Amino acid sequence: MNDRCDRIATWLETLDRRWIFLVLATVVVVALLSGVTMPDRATSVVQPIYDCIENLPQGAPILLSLDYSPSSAPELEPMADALTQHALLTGHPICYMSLYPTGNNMISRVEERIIAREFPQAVPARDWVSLGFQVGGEMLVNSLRDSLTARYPTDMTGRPLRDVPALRGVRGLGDFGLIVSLSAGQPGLKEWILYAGDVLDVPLAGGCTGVGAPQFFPYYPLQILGLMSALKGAAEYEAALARGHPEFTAANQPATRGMGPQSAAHLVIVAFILLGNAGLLLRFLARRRSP
Amino acid sequence: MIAAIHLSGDVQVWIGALLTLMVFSFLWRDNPFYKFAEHVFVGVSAAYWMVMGFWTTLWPALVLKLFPAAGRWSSPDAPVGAWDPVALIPAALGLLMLARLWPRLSWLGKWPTAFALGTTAGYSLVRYLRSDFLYQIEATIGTGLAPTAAGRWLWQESLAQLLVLAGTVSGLVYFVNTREQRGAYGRVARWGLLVLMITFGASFGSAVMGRVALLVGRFQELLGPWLGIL
Repeated sequence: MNDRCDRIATWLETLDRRWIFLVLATVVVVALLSGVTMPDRATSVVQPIYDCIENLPQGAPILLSLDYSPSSAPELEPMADALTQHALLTGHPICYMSLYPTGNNMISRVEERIIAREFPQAVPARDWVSLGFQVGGEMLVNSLRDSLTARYPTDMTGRPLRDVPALRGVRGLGDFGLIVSLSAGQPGLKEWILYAGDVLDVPLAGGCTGVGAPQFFPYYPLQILGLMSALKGAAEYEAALARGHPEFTAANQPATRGMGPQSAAHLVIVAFILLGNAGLLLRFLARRRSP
Repeated sequence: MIAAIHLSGDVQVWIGALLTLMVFSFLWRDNPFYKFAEHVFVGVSAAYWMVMGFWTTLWPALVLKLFPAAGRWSSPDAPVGAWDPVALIPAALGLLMLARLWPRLSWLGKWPTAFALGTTAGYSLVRYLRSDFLYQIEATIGTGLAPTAAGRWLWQESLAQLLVLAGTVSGLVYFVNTREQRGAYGRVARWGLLVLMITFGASFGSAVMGRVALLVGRFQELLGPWLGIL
């Protein structure tokens, strides 16, 4: 008995980590190919963002700051997609900007993938406007509080902001119905909280990567009205959107599709953690029984 | 399943897919393919940041303010701005920063660094004091124990608020090292340690969740746009 415990414990302790990688990759690929999804619903941290957009006055513009780069896109892009669709479905113009140098490309991807394909009737400058990236981080947010044109005289296409119907009545950040920062790090949601949300009387919400989530949860609900955390947060928002807007179909839910493989991968990790602990337990038992 | 594969004809998709596989190959062992992808990534990133830095910072905030006529070269249709002598100050500070390249003049580089650190610290102090200190104290103490206007107790919220308050106080007690952690005080400190461990565990779990999401995203790119299976 002791020998068997010892052998199993040794095998578990010396298991080549590449087996773990292989099993994890296989499970993710199989889950992706099988199209397995997990039922989800918006939690109390995500639902307020959805409710805020639903309850905005007709035509109130939404500022969406895509503060991420391609390395964080798998987590944050589904949020940008869902928010864009929600805003356009409810008739709220969207104003895109970014604190990240790669933000212009991120904005273009949303425009091509969501607006051009799903909303071909949407009119540039009337239904959405892209301001793009400007350098400055927190100082940029600070300077936009009073005047958008101080740092953005034109949009990305060179059109002066005074000629943009989507921003009619918008002078500074406080004139938006809602500000959402999808944040991969610094500068990002933190700067929006410090220099806009806590200073202005404007609802501020955020989306963040899984790594960044613990940093932002303390700000909820006093300083941000809601927070979408990683792919799970995006899937929750998609669930709220699907429930409230039947025209938002399963084909438009990348986060929900991604949560199936994600959950399967989590199960694999949990299983390996249990196996590792079992190995330790067996080693402990073998030592205890040995003379 | 093989019959369903439709390989992409897009060169960009192929480059992305091959670089992804090269990076994944590190999981097997360090190899020249991984090194190649690593060096390409570092080189492209540095070049991208340099170009973006020039066109989004140096060009509009410095060159166009000191030499407005240069704007005709980059944007022929845009109106020419006015000469702005204030831009000479950041220009001088920027040049002083370059002095660090020469050991005998490197001390000059401390001036722009001090300027940047001083202004940033001074400007951020009030914001951080309010958002990360005062508002966080308010959020911790909260109003969860108060009844609603209708006179009804929000017992779930009250319990959550009490837990947050107890966790914060006990976590702070754990870090007080000027008093021996024994008796009731020690039990509070141990509870604080438990809260910290749970917090670190949740943070680690959240980080793992994020990394798995990135893995799923890469496989979606490989199986979707590249292989055409999804």
